[in-house]
Amino acid sequence: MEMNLIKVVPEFIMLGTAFLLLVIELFIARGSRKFFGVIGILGAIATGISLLYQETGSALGGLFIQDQVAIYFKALFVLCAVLVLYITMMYEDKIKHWKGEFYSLILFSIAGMMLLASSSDFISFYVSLEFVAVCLYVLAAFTSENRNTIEAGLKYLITGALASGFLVYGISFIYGSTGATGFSAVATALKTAPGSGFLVLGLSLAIIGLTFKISSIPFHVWSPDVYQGAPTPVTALLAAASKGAGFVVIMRILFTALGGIKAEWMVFVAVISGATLIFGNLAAMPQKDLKRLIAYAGIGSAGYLLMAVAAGSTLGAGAIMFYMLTYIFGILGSFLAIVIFHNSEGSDLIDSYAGLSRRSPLLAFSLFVGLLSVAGFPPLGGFIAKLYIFAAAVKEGLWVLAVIGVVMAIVSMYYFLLVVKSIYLRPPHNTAPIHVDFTSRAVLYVVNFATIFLGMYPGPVTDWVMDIAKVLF
Amino acid sequence: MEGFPVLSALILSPLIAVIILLFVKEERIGLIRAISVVSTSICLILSFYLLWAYDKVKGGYQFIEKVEWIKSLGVSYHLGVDGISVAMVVLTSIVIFTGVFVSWVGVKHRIKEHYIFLLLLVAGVFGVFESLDLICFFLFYELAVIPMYPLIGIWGSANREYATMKLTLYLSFGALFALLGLLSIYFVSGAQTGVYTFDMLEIAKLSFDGSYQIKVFLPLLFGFGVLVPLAPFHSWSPIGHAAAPSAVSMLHAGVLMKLGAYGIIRAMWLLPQGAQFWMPWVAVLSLINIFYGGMVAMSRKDMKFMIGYSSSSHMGYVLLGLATVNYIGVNGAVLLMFAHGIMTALAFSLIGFIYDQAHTRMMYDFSGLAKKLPFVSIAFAIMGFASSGLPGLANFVAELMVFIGAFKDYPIQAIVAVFGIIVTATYMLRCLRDVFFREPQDKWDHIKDATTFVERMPFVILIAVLLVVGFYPAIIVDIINTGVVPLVDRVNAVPLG
Repeated sequence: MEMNLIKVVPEFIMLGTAFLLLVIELFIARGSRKFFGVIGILGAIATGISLLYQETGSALGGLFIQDQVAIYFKALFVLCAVLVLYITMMYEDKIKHWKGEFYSLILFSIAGMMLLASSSDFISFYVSLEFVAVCLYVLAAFTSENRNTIEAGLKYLITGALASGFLVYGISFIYGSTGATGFSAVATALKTAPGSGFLVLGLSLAIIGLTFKISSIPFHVWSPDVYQGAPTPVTALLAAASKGAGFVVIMRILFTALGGIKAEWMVFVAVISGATLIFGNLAAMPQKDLKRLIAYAGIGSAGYLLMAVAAGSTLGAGAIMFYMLTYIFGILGSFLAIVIFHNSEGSDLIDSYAGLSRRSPLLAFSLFVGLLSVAGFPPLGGFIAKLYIFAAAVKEGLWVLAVIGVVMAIVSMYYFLLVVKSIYLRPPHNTAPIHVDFTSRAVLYVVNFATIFLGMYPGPVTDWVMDIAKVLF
Repeated sequence: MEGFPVLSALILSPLIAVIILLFVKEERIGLIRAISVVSTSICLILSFYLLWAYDKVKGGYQFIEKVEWIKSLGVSYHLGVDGISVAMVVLTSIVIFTGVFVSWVGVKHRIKEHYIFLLLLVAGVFGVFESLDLICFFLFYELAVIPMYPLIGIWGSANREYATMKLTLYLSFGALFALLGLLSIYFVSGAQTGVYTFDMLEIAKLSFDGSYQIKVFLPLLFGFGVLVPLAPFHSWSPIGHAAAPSAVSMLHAGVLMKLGAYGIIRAMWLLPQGAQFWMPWVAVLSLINIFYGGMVAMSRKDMKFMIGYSSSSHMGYVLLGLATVNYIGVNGAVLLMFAHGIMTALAFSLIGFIYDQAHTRMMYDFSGLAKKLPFVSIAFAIMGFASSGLPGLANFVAELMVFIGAFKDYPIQAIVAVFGIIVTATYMLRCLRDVFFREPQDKWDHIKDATTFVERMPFVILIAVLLVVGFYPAIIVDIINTGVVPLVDRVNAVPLG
């Protein structure tokens, strides 16, 4: 039972930065907190650097595992932290109270997600999950002057609590039938004793509970209202980082702990995936609000990622890891453009984006690249990710799911092209150019470049990801 | 030019022009046009070099370039051309070269963006015809499809937003569906050899189980069939033609529609027994294309719609030719792809020329244009004759070959298909009569004929190609034949059990 605290250093740096911000907040007068964002970004970068020096192994008496997959996802969360903090700096003027706490809560939630990525036991997994959830409950309802935001916060809290109930109930059944809480211990127990009916029940309940985090059917209802109502940086955090955290634990539980009974969950996950794909994409079509549209599209993306989970292979796991990377760049680039546009125009309606290409070519191009990458247009990163997912599904013979996926990919092209149509084809309502400051320009250029680069030359990243995905099995 | 990467240069020439154009100010129209002309001239020169340097005795795939791209998936940037691809590359570079001049006259606003999208599209098309890797093929294909969306949406005419959405979705759907089939081939071939690769040359070395080939040929046939467009999935095509600006219609009908047929040719090559099983069905469906397309074309009043439907009708002959799976039929089909590409490009450029001045394309609005527009009228008449398959023009040779080929195995289909020519002649001649002959009207006094060099050049080039190939088809058939012979041999090698 050694503690091996050196393995937890990246999390400590992230938490330390969050606490530091809370302490600084005590000593300074009200006013702008933009420099909190800078401190947070520096903390995140320090975390990222410390990740480079991490070696694999376990810590905290076996509750915590530091493997390549954990490090990869932690790096993704650090990336999210940097971009979300930057988006928050752009958004800050709309937050009236407790600006400092907003920044530190984001860092806390990221630290929680990093712990989640490393959890190797149902206990540490559940504690980290709730740690993240509590931060996000507060963040979703942060600008409480706005009725929509209160609604968002409340919905998120109630569905979240219900989903947690499912999850804990499911975990208790799994514990009951295997007698272990550690993921690898469960896997070992399954080798000797075949799965019982209670195990399958526990497994189903746990999967249903986890669908809350990734906003897939049956716990998807919160996401459109929360995406629309929550402050945009929180929406970005939910869309990118929180979804990634959900998938890393799904992979650990299904692939590592319950890999032995793949036959029991494969069909179940495939059905959830198909239903999620169909619902998310069809419901996205009539949306008028861009944030809401992205929420429904996010449900659709969860469907694609679940398709890779259903495949239950190294190829599927690698596909999820690569998809999350492209998704983070695509979606966070879009959200930065949305925040800048909202600062200038005060609207998120798709119609208000009309003629954006004439008013700010860079914002238009960022939305174009970001959204089409999520839709899976080549030669952008999102396409390669979807290609891997389809490949994983076809390899396992999930033909029905693959065909649903193809049809829904076309549906998603339709609604994303509606946005592109508004941006590029429609005449502007007002011709005044939209100003984008120098740093935001630089960030947008980098994000767009990354999305295009991942599409044009994905080889090094995908090869690496496929290699490290093996540790999950 | 030994060792010079001709095929990459063909793709890069328009792409480099795009990058240069991004840095040119929008006001400098002359410079923008000059850059586009230079880049497409380079393509034209390179493609004629291919035509000349391709070793017809050796045959097979030549000018091969290969660079590893995504190792874990077995994807590489792999280019190479056989006789069929060379013909298609030549077609593409002729159409884009003339298309740039047609846009010079026709496009009046957002000129820089127009050329950027046009050149991106062309780079994609070259890529498709040159790819020997299935994923490369797909990526280049989408690179050709995506620019269509803004090209039709911004510079198109009536109903453009609906048309462009429909077209983009249909084309992507077909391609994604085909991709599923390709992925299946990838895994099955990988399981056979242990080496997972998207390399067409490697996959073509294997022989799959007959029943598997029959199963997996279907998604490929359906996916590429949507792009051809095979009835009943053709509705995106005429409406897309009609809404697109002239240069885009030229490329769309002239080249993009050929991508589907080209895809089917590649699928036949990869899955010979699947092709044996399904091609008789294609022969039947092709008749629906020929007649349904022709009948609808006859009923259209809008000239662009008429040509649009006539294109799906002509693609029916191409499919019939492919379905014969004998030397002369398939040669005819590929030659028809070439001839039809040139002929429709001419048709759309002429209609665009008239539309830009008259702002209508309805046949009943016009009469007696021949007196005002002698040059355009003659060009239009030649186009009409080519389309109806008159001897002396390229289409005649191609259609004749298709019919001869079809008579061997599908005599009934061939006899029926011959009557399609009468349908074509009916609407083409009627259009010629209504628009160009009879009494001239005063309201069209302001329309001017094509007089300047820039206006006339595209028409002259396209007509010249039609005539040259019509009188001396060997210039292109010889090279097509080097690609067709191994294809046909491979398909017929193992009879279906």
